[in-house]
Amino acid sequence: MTDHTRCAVKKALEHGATDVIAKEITRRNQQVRFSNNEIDIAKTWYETVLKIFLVHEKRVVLTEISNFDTLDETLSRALRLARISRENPEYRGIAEGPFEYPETKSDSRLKKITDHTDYIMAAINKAIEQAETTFGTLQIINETMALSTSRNVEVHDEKASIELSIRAFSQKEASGHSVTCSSTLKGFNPEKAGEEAGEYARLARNPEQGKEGTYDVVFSPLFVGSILNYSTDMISAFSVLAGRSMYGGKIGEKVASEAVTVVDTPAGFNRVMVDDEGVPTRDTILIDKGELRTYLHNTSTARAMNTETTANAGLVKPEPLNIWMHPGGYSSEALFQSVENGLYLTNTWYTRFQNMQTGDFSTIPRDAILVIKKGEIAGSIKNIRVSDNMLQLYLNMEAVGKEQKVVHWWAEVQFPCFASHVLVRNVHITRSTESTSPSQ
Amino acid sequence: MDEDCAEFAVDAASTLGASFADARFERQERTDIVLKNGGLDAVSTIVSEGIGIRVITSRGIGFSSTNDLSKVSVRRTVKEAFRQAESCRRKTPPRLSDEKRATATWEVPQKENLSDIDVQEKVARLIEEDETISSSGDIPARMLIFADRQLEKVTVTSEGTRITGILPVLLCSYFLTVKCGNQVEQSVRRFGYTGGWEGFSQFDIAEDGLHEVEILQRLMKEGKKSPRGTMDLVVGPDVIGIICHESCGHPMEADRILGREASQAGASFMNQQLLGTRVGSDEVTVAEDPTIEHSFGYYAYDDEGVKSRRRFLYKDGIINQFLHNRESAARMGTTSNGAARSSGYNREAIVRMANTYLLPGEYSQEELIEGINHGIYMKSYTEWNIDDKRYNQRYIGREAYCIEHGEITHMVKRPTLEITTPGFWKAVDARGNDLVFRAGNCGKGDPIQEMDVLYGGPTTRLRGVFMR
Repeated sequence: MTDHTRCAVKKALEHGATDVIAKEITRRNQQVRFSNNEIDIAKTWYETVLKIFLVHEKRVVLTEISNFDTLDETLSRALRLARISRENPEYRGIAEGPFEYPETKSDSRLKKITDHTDYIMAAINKAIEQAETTFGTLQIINETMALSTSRNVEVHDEKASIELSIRAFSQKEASGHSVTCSSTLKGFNPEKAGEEAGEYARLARNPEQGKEGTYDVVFSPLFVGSILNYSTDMISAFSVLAGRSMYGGKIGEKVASEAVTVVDTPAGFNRVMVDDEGVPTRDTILIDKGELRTYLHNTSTARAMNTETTANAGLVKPEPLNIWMHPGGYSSEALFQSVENGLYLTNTWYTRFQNMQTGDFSTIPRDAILVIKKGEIAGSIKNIRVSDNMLQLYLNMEAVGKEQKVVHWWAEVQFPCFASHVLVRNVHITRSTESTSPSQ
Repeated sequence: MDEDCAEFAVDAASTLGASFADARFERQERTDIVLKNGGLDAVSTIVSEGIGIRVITSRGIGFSSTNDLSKVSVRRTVKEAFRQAESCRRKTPPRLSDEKRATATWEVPQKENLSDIDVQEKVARLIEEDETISSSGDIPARMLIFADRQLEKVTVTSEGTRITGILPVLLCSYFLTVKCGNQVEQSVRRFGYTGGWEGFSQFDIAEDGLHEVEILQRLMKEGKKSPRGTMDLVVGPDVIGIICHESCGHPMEADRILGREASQAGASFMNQQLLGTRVGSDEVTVAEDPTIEHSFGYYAYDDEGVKSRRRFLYKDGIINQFLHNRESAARMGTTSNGAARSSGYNREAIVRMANTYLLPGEYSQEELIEGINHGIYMKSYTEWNIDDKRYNQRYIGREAYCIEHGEITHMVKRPTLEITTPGFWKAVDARGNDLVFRAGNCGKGDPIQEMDVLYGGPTTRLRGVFMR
């Protein structure tokens, strides 16, 4: 399994590299896209790629090959480049092995799936019990990975997953979105995702124009997953050093309410046994009852900040594995009951920051935007925007639901999350105008 | 180039019984350089190649790709695309629009070939630009990112189209955090060019960065609260450019209108019945033009082998023409206008923009401003976003000024325009005689395909919009 990577490391050292990581990934991934209740296209991607990270006296070069016959030529070019390059003053090395790894296997049934139409039709048929049309994607991932480093690491791993994303419309402006994501076939439930998307679409019928103001809001797991993605990426030490973070200098400080505990974990949809330096992955508490505990580190950023790696090394920068917001003690019903006049936001997109250090941002709810009155759903609205401060939003998280869901969706939830419904007080809502004042 | 490989794939698909097949072979040489806080974070050089095959049968569309170009592998990939097409079980057979068969070879010329420039020189030039910017103020964090690509691509279809293209691309971006006392402001800017190394000098990165540092420092020292209420607004080319892209280009993509992107990159408020109806004032003509030489969104033929051309999306304020690939065109009973683009051999070619801009007018910037009694001049923006049907958008000013009695008086902090798409375009009252473009990075498709695009326009005046 590690023949290519071991060979690449050996040859790179012979060429004069001082640190080397070689990672080979072989993929056979499938995707089916559908719209208007019919399949548009079905795809299969085959790819084998050997990625090489090498360092020559603090000069960092990355390269990759797909044809192993070109290894010598590629390494020679990369080392020549490293020699004429400049030092990375922030580079502090890679992890020293060897390490011990648990024995893991991906779900072999996911390798055998060739006919996916039944899964898609199951989701569509469930959704159109309450909606008219559906749109979405089914994706099946099967990957093997081999990793060798110049610091006594040799390991291989495999990963498989299946996910379905479905958006259902009951009217042109009434939609619902749901996902089902699992690393096993057993945990994959397309009917449930279809049912939830359809139900949201039904509840969203006949939306009225939303009004500006400050609202208590219950966010769905899909919405929470999106917020967690943008904020946890800022916990990467790389983001902090690059100035792209609201968490710089805040270790040990209160960055969220006591209801919030966020953990990075290798157990989940993106099941990863080792990071890209070969360090065995583990749970890392990022926010503990509202207090920021650590940044996400690789060996280099950890040494630069006088701490230990959190086993989140990517070949370029530290990244989350699976983001887990600890469940609270509240049922979803109890969260709704805590809202007198508020909103239930089921999905969002386009989260953008005015300033990544202050956390001023806005995001646009999409799909069902439901009105809560005295704890009950009482209609739907449209065309609003959450315009707030991300740190303040976390501080205003009053309660977290106990029922958890795995969410992973397109570009908005790139890092898989375990998320619950979350009640947030005093969320600022704005809306677009035709031209004059929003109150008119 | 491996035209034989693409021919082999298309022939193999036809032998299997495909009613249509196309194959796209691509080879790319890419260099990436990342400077972080003045240090060289990493340099990357990658040579990659592969082939993607689309197969159409009466039951559906299949696509498969591989980066193993052996005959055995390509044959397996074709078979898989065929199998996937058959697995779709569509009730309505897929169709592509009828297009002229094309045979062509195109190449973007390079005065200084990217391959002839040593990476050491590229790094040195970047460091030079970075050092100039960093010397201008308190900049606690900064990133400068550079990439160049030499892309060779071959498109072959079972209808007899054979297109070979060579596209060299340069792109650069910076991200600055500027400090003043206990305040910080940030700026991100992007530059793009198709052609050789000569394009780098045209970016004027240091000059642009110095201006940004100065503006952000002034903003933090002198910026006042922006006035709220209904007033006139002048927007700069950066702002009108992103609005052309987001609230004209995207809603006019036919695949969105048909729902093909609805669960990911979103839908559109447009429909076929709206063609010919009014969306803006007479001043609004938005062009979408991939043929602008050396532009970041340039291509001579699209990724389905259809010749590129200029399209007018909004014309004199009227909804005029959607952007199409062959699939969306067939579904709407028309022909493609050459908007099929793919970010790589392993992605399907979907409807994309190239260079989108508002046509300029006749006014000088001074004339636009002197006609305003009370208003805002929003020259550039920070946060922005738009809903998935491309109707509700928001842009927050970065470099912005108050206008009183026809004159710019002082800088204002974060003026906010939050407006509907028709609300914006109907308020356009006059256009400047300047035309400036900015490079962008457009995301669409699943898996997301990041695409090189350009957007721009002239300084533009709007009457009576609500600002906060």
